[in-house]
Amino acid sequence: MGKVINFSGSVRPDNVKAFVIFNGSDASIIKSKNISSLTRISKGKFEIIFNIPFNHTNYIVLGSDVGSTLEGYHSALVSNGVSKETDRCQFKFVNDNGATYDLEHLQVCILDMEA
Amino acid sequence: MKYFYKIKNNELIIGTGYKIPDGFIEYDRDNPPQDFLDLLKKENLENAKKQKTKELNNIRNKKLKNLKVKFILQDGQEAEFDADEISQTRLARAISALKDGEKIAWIGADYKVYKLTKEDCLSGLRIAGELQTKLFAKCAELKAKILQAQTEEEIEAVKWEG
Repeated sequence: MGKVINFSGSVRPDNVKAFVIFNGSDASIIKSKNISSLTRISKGKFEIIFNIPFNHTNYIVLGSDVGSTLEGYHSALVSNGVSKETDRCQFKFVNDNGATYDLEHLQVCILDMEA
Repeated sequence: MKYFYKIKNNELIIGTGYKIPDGFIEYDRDNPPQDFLDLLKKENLENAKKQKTKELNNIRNKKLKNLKVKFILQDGQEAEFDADEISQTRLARAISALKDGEKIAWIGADYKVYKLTKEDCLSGLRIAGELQTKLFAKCAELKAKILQAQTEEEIEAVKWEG
C-alpha cells in the first residue's frame, strides 16, 4: 500500500512541477516548464519527458483542451494505458466517441502534492 | 527548441523539446526531410478522408431525419408526410393492423389530418424506402470517391449536391 498523504490547505505555486501548452497536431510546444520534450506518439497520444525527474510517480497529471477553437470538437485527457515513470508520462486526448483527437491548444499540468 | 522525429511501423512520430529523446532524429522545421513530408502528407490525407466521411454521414443522417414523402392518396388528395425511421415504423404498424377498407387518421407535414387507407400507408412506406435507399446509395457513392482520392484537393471536391 502506498504512502497516504494527508493534505490540507491550497495548491501552492511550488506544487506545479511541470506544465506544457502545445499544439496537438504537430506537437509544437507553445509554453512549458520543466519539460525536456513532448512527443506525439500517434494521433492524440503524447509522451512528455521531464527536465528534472520526480523521485516518485505519485504526481498528478491534469489537462484540458480549453482554448482550442475548432468548432464541434472537444476532448478530455485520459491514460494511454502506460504507467507513469519518474522521468516521463504518457497520456492521450479523446473525444466523446472515445477516439483520440488532436486539437491545436492542449495543456497539461503536473502537480506534486508531496513537494 | 529542437524538432525531432522517427518513423516506426511506417508511422511518423514527431516532437519538440530542449533535449532529443533516444532514437529520434532532429530535423529542420522549415525544411523537413522527404520521408517526413511523405508520411505527413499520408497522415493528412487519411485525416481529411475521415473528416469528409464524417461530414457526409452527418448530411445523410440529417436528410434521413427530415425525409418526407409526397403522393396522391386513394381519395385523390395530394399530401406530404414525415418519412423518417420512426414514421416508417409507425406506417408499418398501421399496415399490419388495418383491415381492408379501414382508414387511420394521419398527421401530414402541413399538420392537417388525413384519413389513410392500408394502400395509402403502403404507398407512403414504399416511397419512403426508395428515397431512403437513394440517400444511402448517394452517400456510399461519394464515400467511395473519397476512398479513392489521392490528394486533399480531390477530397475537397467531393460535395453532396441537392
